[in-house]
Amino acid sequence: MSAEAETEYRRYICRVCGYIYDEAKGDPDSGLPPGTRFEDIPDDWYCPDCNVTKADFDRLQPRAEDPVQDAAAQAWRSPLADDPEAVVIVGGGMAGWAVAEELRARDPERGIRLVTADRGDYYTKPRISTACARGAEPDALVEESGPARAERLGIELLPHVRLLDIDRGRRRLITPRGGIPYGDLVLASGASPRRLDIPGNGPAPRVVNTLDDYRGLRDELGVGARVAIVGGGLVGCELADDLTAGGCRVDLIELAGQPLAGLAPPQLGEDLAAALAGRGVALYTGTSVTRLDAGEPARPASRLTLTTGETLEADVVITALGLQPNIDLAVGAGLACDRGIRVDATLATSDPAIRALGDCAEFDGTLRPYVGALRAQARVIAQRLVGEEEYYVPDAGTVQVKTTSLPMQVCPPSAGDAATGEWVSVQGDGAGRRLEFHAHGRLAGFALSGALTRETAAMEARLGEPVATADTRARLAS
Amino acid sequence: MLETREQATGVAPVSAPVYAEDGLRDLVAGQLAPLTVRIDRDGHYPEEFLHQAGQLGAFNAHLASQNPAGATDLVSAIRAEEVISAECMTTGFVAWCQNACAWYVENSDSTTLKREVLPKLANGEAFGATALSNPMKWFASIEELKLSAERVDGGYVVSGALPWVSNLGDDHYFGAIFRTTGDNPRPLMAVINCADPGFSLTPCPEFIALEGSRTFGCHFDRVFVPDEHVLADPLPEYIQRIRPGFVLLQMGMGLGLIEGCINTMHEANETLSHVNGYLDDQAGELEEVLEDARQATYALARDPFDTSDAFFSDVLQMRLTGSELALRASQSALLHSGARGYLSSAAAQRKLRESYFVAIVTPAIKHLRKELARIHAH
Repeated sequence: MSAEAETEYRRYICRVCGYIYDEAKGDPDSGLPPGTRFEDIPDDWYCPDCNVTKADFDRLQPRAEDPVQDAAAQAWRSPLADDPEAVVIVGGGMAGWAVAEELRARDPERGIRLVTADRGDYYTKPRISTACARGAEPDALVEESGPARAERLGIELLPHVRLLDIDRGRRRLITPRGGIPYGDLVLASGASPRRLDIPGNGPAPRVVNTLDDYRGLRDELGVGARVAIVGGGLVGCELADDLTAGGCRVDLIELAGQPLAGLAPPQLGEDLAAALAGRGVALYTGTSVTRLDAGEPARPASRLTLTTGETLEADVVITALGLQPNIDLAVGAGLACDRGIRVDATLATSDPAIRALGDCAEFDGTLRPYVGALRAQARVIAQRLVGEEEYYVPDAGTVQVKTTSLPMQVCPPSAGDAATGEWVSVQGDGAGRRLEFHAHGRLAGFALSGALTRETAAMEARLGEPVATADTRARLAS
Repeated sequence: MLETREQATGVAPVSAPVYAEDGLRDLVAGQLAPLTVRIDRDGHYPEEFLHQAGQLGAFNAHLASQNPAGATDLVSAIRAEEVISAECMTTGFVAWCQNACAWYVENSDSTTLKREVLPKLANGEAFGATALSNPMKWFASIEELKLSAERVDGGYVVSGALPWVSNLGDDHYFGAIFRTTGDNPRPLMAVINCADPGFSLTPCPEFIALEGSRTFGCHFDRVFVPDEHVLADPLPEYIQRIRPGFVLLQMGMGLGLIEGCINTMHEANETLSHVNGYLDDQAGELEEVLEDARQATYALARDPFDTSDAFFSDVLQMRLTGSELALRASQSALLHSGARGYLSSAAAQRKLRESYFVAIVTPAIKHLRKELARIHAH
């Protein structure tokens, strides 16, 4: 048969079962010899695989011969190989990656696996707070993709995998992608925004804690969008400040009498309120939201009712009510937990094969959900894992408030000192101020704003030094 | 605000297993095991076993409205399928079909089906099936919907054909999805009875396994479906509610099969352990991964009404893991058994064929990976 004749034969596919009728081959079992044209098949012929008639056949249009081989088609390929000695890190935030980096720098050989529920892309979370002011799109916050970072560090990244349980007896993580054995386990599972169940039929409020959250928020914000932020703490104030800089109209609702009430001295709270108002943020203090309802047609999506009876309209509602350490799995696995997963000065939990750091960990009765703490903790964990005798010593715990309209550095006093001492205003005005917290005649904390924030390191160095109480009081009185 | 789960589904905390697993084990050993080879190759349908298993409560654990505990105990439903699949996965697959069909009705708005059909499915008096392979591929942009329907007074008339649907028979029920034509075209899901006028079954070509699963081609020639038999309208929210349970219930097949493979390996080791130690996957290693997979499956099955994409991703990953492990375990079982495992009556070669079914039945491995890539694409 000539090649020319062959090409004239056509193929037809059964829409129901996928059987292909090839004219060149016919269907001899049903009495159709090779070469029988589709048009010549009698109407009482049935698909040999599923019994439908000719009418259910279409001319075959072959797809591209090569299967799809893009990244998406590769992503879910190989199941995990076993490495029972590996250090397995749970969490792909800054804390998890910091441990991977510190450990690889000290041990080029040991198997390191990082399991994360997101893509594993590396970003510096605090930079989310100032993205609008810097004109940065969410994707620009990614400093290195997860796969690139994993390759550079020589570790194995397991993205999009959520931990379901820890089987400590068998030293295995239970995940939907199978069990993952560990030699040492590091929990860097972070913290989640506290959520508030507000009555009403409005859309669920957003939270902003991860780059994925932030991407979702920015996607939803149109030009000049009206945003209501419930909660005027650190994250609420930073978001209000930055989204306003990005062209949004922001209402900020805070139960206390002023923003940052739990953190900053009252004077700085007032300064910040003025700075935010100057930028255009509408501040509602001393009130909270009693209802969150869907907006009327052709109006913004949500309508908020405050305890004062006022109503606000918003395209987007965000709650910013603080963070809760993610400890459910640790509790379920029987690890000692209080507010966070309890760790000792070696960062070990109550199970010596499991360590924890960052936002999920609690050391000495205190949560330290900031970057300085996780970096120091990651270093100690890495040193411990290579056998060095190192202990974690917390830093001053200074909190950076990244409100560009009035930046601040606040080093709050410890719980014990807070009860006995007082804030003393030492220097400055609304544009830049220094306050000190004096307890038992010593410097126990400080708060700086505006230009004076550059004195942070100097103030941290002075912590614990005696203060001249009488002189300061005199100055305040003058 | 959304309804709470209690209101939506009747789910309640699980206090105790709602059926006696030991009784089912005895029934499998006594009634099912002698039939396994005939079910696999000769197309024997284990009807009497299924009736008796239903009487024991093997098909009602996940149906809060139908079991004594009044709880949605998906874990026990999966466990029952495992016990059956470890011996005969054809029957385990049929049990899943039964469980899925009842799951659709349990979570539907149809009081008629809940009153007239669900109790009979729950106790194994009637049999049910699920013709959702095509729609699931349609949801994943793999195929077009193959059934269409036009609106008539009091219901719809459905036409089209589905290539092969299992656990069907003269008076069996099954869930199907069709696309309506005319005004407001949309997908709908309904329960069909094989005795409905205009509906007919045609035999399939022979498959390499699972011949006793009563698998047929389905032909709809203007089959009337009354409004009372529609499970949900609109469909998308309903699908979101039932799909994690639908997929998780399939885990009973894979997990049971893996257990069966491990049993086969232990049997082979009684005479061949001096050489089987050279093989890649040892019984102990597979026992460990089976324990991992069980723990993960049961953890997910405790809350099957989570409709988030993140949870559904977990469920799909679990199903993918189950397929991969089933292939691994069955390969090792055959290698452990050697030539005796290659006999046409041997369990090892049957389990090998069964494991490929786990990997290709919708959602197949390639389908799962495609869906996971879609969910996690930004």
